[in-house]
Order: sequence, then structure tokens, then C-alpha cells
Amino acid sequence: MPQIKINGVQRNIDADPQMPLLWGIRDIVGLTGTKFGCGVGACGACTVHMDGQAVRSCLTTLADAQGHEIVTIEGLSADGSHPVQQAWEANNVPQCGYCQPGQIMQAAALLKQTPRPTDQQIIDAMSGTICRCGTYQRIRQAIKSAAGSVG
Amino acid sequence: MTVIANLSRREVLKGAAVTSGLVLGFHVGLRKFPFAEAAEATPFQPNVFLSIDETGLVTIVASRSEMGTGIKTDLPLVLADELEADWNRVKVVQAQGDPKYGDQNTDGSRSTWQFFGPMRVAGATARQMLETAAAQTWNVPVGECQAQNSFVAHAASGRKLSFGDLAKVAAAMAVPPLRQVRLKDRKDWRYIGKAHPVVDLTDIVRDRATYGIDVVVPGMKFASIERCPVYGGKVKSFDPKDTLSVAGVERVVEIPATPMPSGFKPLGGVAVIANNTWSAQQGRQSLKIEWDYGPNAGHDGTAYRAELEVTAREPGKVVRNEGDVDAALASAARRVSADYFVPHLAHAQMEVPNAVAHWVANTCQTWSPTQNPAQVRQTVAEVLGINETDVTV
Repeated sequence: MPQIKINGVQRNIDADPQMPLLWGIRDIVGLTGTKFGCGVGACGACTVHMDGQAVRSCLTTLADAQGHEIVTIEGLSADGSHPVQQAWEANNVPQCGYCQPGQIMQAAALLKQTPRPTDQQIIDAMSGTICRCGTYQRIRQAIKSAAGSVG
Repeated sequence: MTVIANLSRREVLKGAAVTSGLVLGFHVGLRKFPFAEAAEATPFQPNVFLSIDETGLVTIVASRSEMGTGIKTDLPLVLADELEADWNRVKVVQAQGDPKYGDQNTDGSRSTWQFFGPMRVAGATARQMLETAAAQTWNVPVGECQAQNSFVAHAASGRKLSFGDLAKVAAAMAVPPLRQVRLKDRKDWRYIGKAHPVVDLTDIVRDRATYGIDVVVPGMKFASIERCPVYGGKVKSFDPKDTLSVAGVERVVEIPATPMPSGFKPLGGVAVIANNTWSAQQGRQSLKIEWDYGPNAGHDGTAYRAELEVTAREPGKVVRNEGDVDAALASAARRVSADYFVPHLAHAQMEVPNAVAHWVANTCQTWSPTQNPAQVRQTVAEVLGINETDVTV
């Protein structure tokens, strides 16, 4: 039974180790903030952090995640106070919002690694997370406004 | 075209999203009632609700589906502007699929143009009722009372009452006739025409927003459906053996195809039912299905395009006829001609099409990210052979 620390809580996940982490998180653990978009790593909606790195949970198996620390959108902050979430609110980023947990997790990982990214670094990091509403301009604006505040 | 009624003491609101204080129901929409006279002759069926309770909280029911366009926020904002409500004291409640809300089909890019006027009239009507309630309370001419930001003020005496204080008085009043409703001057708009955060902003950013795919019913099963690759086709035969050996898979069920045109009824396919999504998807991949592709088996995109090019040049149904196009084209100094073609396109929405259904005692509760909840209700009732009133969406 895979043992994975999710949002600081050690969990034994009663499922096939080959099950994608996405479905372990959503169906078994019951955290539905992480979204299913394509299932083949092409859209980024399912992005979570594994040891601080952004990964696609639809392509990461429970076995891959065994022994690692996973953070989902629910664990990014207790009260929406993470600088990226604050910047998202201040810049009124979401429209339908379905892709936004993935966008926020990707942006948080980027700013942790590169606190003050250039436009090109933002484009490179964010190009795999797709938004059907087309909120890209505000996503970039929000990342810039949060730059320097993710430690 | 907008009929408004004071429903403050009507039974119709039992179980509705809005309950106490001043409650107005109004019918908007062009399709059912093209003329006000016709509307007045029909039993009144309000399809939008507005209420102001005694704490001053304004509740506006959003009867359209939010798909990222902002409509759940925009239309209530228009109403709140005319009402002179403080947006911080407005609650927007999403309507369930129910015929009482009229046509909820959020399609055709028509919500704003169709509802903008009626929402203004509704807001202005409620504002005038509150101003009249204040005038009666103070025994002053109504023309001296002005609503502003969830209060009504009497400038001459400096008196002020909140919408909450006035709700009960207004609730006992008759609705002013449409011809007496005065809309705000454009220059006085506070919200209309200005960018505004969507009402669900905080919930989305803090992962509190529940999408159709996030709905959980205790003990629910997960299904994934393999459909015929050709529209109009059906299952000839299938072998579920490998699928049933996938851990977590519980049942494999054939879905019979609805004859064309199938509308929103089921397409032919095979559903794999499991105790989690991944097992259902894995099981689906191991299905062995032989398809009968049906009448579209030989569909040829090129031939179809040629067919459409011919039919597009035939005379069409005239919906509107103004001026003389032929003469104008004949005398034009320059004529531009172009053909446009688009392929068949998938919507490619981020949230995969999905639905949750809960069958309890011959009733069906459903949840789904849909543009058209009333259609869901009707189709589910038809397919299951139950009454529409036994289906909730």
C-alpha cells in the first residue's frame, strides 16, 4: 500500500501502486481541488508539487510518489494567503476557474525556484498549463506582482 | 416584455433560494412571451427572483450557467446597479434547473443582450418601491427620496433608512406599472460598464469552488464510456472478459444507441463501472468491441463539404428583409467575395463532460456542468421513464 505524505499528512493509500497520483488524491483521499483535464500530461490542470517541484499528477503514479512530499492546492495555504493566491485574487485572474488550481501550483513552484522570473521564464514555465478561457495575460500579470514574495 | 410581481407572501417561494422580506419575481425572455399583452394573459411564471431581507441583504438568483464568461456576476451586477444596492451586501445564488426560471439554456451568446434590459427594469422597480416605502414612512413626496448604496435618503431632512429597514414596508406594496418605472441615467451607472471581479473569485482561488466533476455522493460508482467512433453507430458485439479482470471494475454495461437524430439522448457504447475513476478508464481500454458503424460508416468529409457548398447557394429561409441587397451589390463600386470553411470542431472544454446521478426511491438527483439544466432534466426523465418533477439538476 503506497505511503505518501500529502499536505503534511502521512497517508496509506489503499489502491494499486500504478494508479495515477491524481486519482489517488481525488477518488481515494477525496481532495477534489486538483483537476482532471486530459490524463496525458498535455493540459496541466492536475499540477501538484512533489518535493517542491511542479509535476503532473495524471502521469505520476502512486508508486512514483511513494516516500515523497506532495502538496495540492488545498495544502498551498490554509486560508488562501499564499502570495500566488493573493496575487490571483488581486488581479482577478480566473474566469471559469477549472484550470486555475493547476496554474496556481505551477506558478508557485516557478516563483519558489525563480523568485524574479523574466517574461521568457514565465512563458517557459507556464506554457504547459492551458486555459480555455484565455486568462494568460492576467496570469502573467499576477506572477509578476507576486514575484519576490515567495520564499 | 418584463412582468414583475410582488411575491413576498406567496407560497411559490417555499424551498426557493430567496425567502423573506421584499421578494420580486419577474419573467424575462423573448421566446415565450413576445408581447407584454400575451404575458399578462398567461398565468404569471416568474423566472428570476430578487429578494431584500430585513438585514438589508439583497439576494439575486442567477438563472444562467457560468462557463467562464462571467454571466453569473454580470447580470446580477446590472440589477444591483439599477437597484442602487451596495454590491458588498448582495448575494448571488445559482438557480437549479427548474422551469420556473424559464429558458435557462445559456447558449447563443444571448444572455447579456436578452437580459440586460429586463434586469435593469427589475432593479429599478425594486428601487422605486423602496423609495416609495421611505416616502410613506416619512410622509414626504416620493420625489424627494433617493436610493443610494443600499439606503434611501431624504436630503431635505437628512433622514436615512436602510433597504433592510424598508423591505417589510415595500413587501406590502403593489408593483408599479412598467410605464412608471424610471431607469437610471447612463452617467449614474456605478457597476455597468466597469470591470468587476467574478462572485466566485475567492472560492476558485482557495479551491472551494465545486465543479460538476467534484461532486461526491457516498458510495458512488465511477463509469467511463467507450462510444462508437462514428455518430449513429452501435455495438455489434463486445467481450468484457479482460475488463472484468481489472482490479476495481465491477460491471460492464452496453448502452443501446438512440436512433438518429439522437438529440441529447444516449449514443451507443459500452460503460465500464468501477469503484474509482482510474479502474473504469483502465477497464475501458481493455474492452474488445466490434462496432456497427451504421448509416454514417461511409461519411466522406470532402463530399459533405461539396454538398454544403451547393446547399449554401440555394435560397434560404428569410428571417429578416431590409433594403435591397441585390440592387446595392449591383451598384457597388467594389465587391468583395470570400468563402469561409471550418472543420468539425470539438469544444475542448477543460472540464471533461461528466455527470453524477443519484437514484433514490424512484427519483433522480443529478449534478452536471451543463449549459442547459432544463434539458438535462427533461432528457433524464425521458430516458428513465419518470416525471420531470422527480429529477433535480
